Amino acid sequence: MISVAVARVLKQHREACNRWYFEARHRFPHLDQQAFSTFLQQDAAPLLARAEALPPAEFEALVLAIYRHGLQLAGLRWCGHDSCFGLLQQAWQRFLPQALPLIRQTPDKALVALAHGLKQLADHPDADALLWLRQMTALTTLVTDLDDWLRAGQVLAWRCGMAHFRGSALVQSALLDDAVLLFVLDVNELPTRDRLQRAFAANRWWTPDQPPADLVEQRRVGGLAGMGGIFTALPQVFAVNDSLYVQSGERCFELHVDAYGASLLPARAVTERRVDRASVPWSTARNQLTLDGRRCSFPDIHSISSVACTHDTVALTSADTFQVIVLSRCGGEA
Amino acid sequence: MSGQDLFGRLSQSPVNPRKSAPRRGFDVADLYRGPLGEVEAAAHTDALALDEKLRQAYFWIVNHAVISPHYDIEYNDEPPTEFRVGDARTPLVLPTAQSYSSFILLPLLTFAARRKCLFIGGPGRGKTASAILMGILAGYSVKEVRRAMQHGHPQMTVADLLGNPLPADLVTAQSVDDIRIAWRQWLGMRVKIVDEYNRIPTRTQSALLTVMGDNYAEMLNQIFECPDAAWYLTANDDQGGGTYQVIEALKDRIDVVVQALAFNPRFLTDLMTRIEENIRPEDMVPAQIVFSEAELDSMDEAIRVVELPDPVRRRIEFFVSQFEFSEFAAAQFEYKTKDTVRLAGIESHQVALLDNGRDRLRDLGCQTHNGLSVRALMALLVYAKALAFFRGQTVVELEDVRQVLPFVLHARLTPDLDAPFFEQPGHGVYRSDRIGWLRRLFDLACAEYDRLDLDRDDPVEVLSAEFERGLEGLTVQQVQARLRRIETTISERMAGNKLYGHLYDDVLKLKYLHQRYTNFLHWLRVQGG
Repeated sequence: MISVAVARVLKQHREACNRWYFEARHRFPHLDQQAFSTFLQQDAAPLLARAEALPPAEFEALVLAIYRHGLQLAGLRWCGHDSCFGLLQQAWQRFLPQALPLIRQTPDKALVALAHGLKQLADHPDADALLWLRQMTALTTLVTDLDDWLRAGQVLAWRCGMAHFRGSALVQSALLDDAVLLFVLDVNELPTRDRLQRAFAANRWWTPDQPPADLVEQRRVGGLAGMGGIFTALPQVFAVNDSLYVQSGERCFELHVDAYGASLLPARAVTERRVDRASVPWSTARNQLTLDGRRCSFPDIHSISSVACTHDTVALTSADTFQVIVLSRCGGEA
Repeated sequence: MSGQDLFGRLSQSPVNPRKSAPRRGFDVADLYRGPLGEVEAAAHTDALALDEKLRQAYFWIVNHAVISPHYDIEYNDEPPTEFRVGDARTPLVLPTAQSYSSFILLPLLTFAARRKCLFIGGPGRGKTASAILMGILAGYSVKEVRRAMQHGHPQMTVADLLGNPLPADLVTAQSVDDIRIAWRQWLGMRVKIVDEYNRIPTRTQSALLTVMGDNYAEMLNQIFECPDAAWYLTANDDQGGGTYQVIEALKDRIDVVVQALAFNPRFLTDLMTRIEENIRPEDMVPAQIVFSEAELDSMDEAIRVVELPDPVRRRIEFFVSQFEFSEFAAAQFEYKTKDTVRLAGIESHQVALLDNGRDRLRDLGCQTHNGLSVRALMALLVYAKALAFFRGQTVVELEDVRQVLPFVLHARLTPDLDAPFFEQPGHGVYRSDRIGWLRRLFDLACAEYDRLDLDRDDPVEVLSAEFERGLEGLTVQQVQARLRRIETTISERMAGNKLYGHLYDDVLKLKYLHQRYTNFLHWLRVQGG
């Protein structure tokens, strides 16, 4: 139900609201009016109900921002019955009302940023979008500024599995308050900022509460297309300039992986693949890998088809799983 | 996000993605970017390269403002699918690379390079609406652009066009210099629109010519210096069908002519939606594609520095050299031009009768009544560079020249419709299709250039390049050797008796080089003596 207060604002701005609706319908020919109504009446209702206590001008601005935002969500089919983005509905109904003190600061910016962030996390196969949403909600008690909140959200996205953001998230983490950083990294105490940054930079498997283990399987990524994976041909791993890549048929991927998650992202074909067979530090025999004198075996595979190594990571593939098996190394530990 | 942004959102992906574009690293700021309108979008777009911004503007107009664009500027990166349709077996090509609509692209290039564009076509085809959009891209409001637009009409006076002397000054002034002028606001704008310019009386056209040609307005000894601006003129008819004949000098100031093509009724639904929802594209132009004055200056500079490679330049030279030459126009070699015939008031066909044995079909010069002015050549070079810039290239490609050439030469190269070329089977359509004819003309010139193998064997170019390296340090013997080579080259070039336009220009260039070396030789001898 649309509350009396919201209805009053919409009535007051009826002409503008109608124009926005027509404009949205022009831009999104498949805009579902029902989805938009449901969004306004149900999804946005808890936040709007809480917002009624705001000063009238602020409330009015928020209602109109939500109206315009809802049009776009409905236009993109991010809300409504046939939406493939159910988490957004949960976010609006359960979590966003608690974030009102932050959202009210710049409603357009906050709503758009949250929708984009949530969508990206939800679309990422290895990221935990619900965890991100919960943590973002919990953070509303620790931060008072919208920009700080969104910045913490960026670092949280990395923590929740978006490994490809590692580099820039670490830069952003340096700008967070100690209390916020402790919360985001889910630890009770931290080393000094310098040591923290150095340790993160030195080994991607290092976390404040756990040092990296040597030659321990950390995760598996990829898999055969049609079985929930993305590789259509047997993947082959290789490393260039301490970065990992996977070639599967004609397609090439960048492999970003660390203690918090993994991302396989399409890449341009890498032509500088130079592997000096004589100098590789590993050897393989059936399902066994030997590296730096240490041996590691994988009971569920029969053979290893490719191996690549960086200073802190080993990646290998097998025709048995079509997955990339990722192991941590102790190299570079701070 | 405002309501306007909702309608006017732009693609955040590059509109002309290139394989060679360096990829930036992953940035966690991307977490909050996506298809929704957002506050940061403006900041993101601010950082766009100007060529990308120009393409964004083009695609916004194509996607939102113009209902039925025609893709008549075709690019292919692999052989396109082609159909032969109708009794005329007209080719219909499905381009394989990003292609463009001349009706939008040429005005936009005019905007970027600050040149002058004439829209022609029947009433109600969007000529004025397109011009208004260009004004808005320059940062003016719809009201400002509409109010500043000059509407040609038979009673339009110079004062209507430029401004009025202040009445108080007229009464009290002791001299003409004391009379201040209330200049019309449009003179100071960076986009100038003159609607139906062929309805302006001849005297007022002359005042307009001064503003267009020399960028200043003059009234009662007072001068108003206008800023560099893009000009848009409209006319329902380019063939003198307006109320007044347009003076030739004014016509020559126009850099490109763009025809507004017919509305495709298959797009009637879009038109209906626009009526029902009361949407006017000019009210919806997104702020991200509006150019500041500084950006316009930078863009103009960026266009000028786009490189025109020598092989492309040579083909332009070869094409242009076809048209001015008229063998029987004069006895003096330098005066053998169509302009000599025109100045003498003689009909060109009378001179053509003197031709004996010339292959009038092969000689491209026989297809036109005139040659090309320097202004036309400058416009061609600027628009070729602007198109390359628009496409994100740093170097002009031959195809860029081929695509802009017909629009630049549309009003400048007059076809001789009695020429044998137009009598050929299938060539009748070129009598009315000026764009198609000019493009065909350029293709024929390029084919002839290839046949003569001038890319590999062009002695005049070799001699010119040798001269460009400078005369310093040359000895008398070396200069004499060069003079002999020039004479030998002239002799070789003239070995076949027939003289064509490109040979005529070659010989004139060789004569120029010969004269420069001769003067230098005299100087060397004086120094030595």
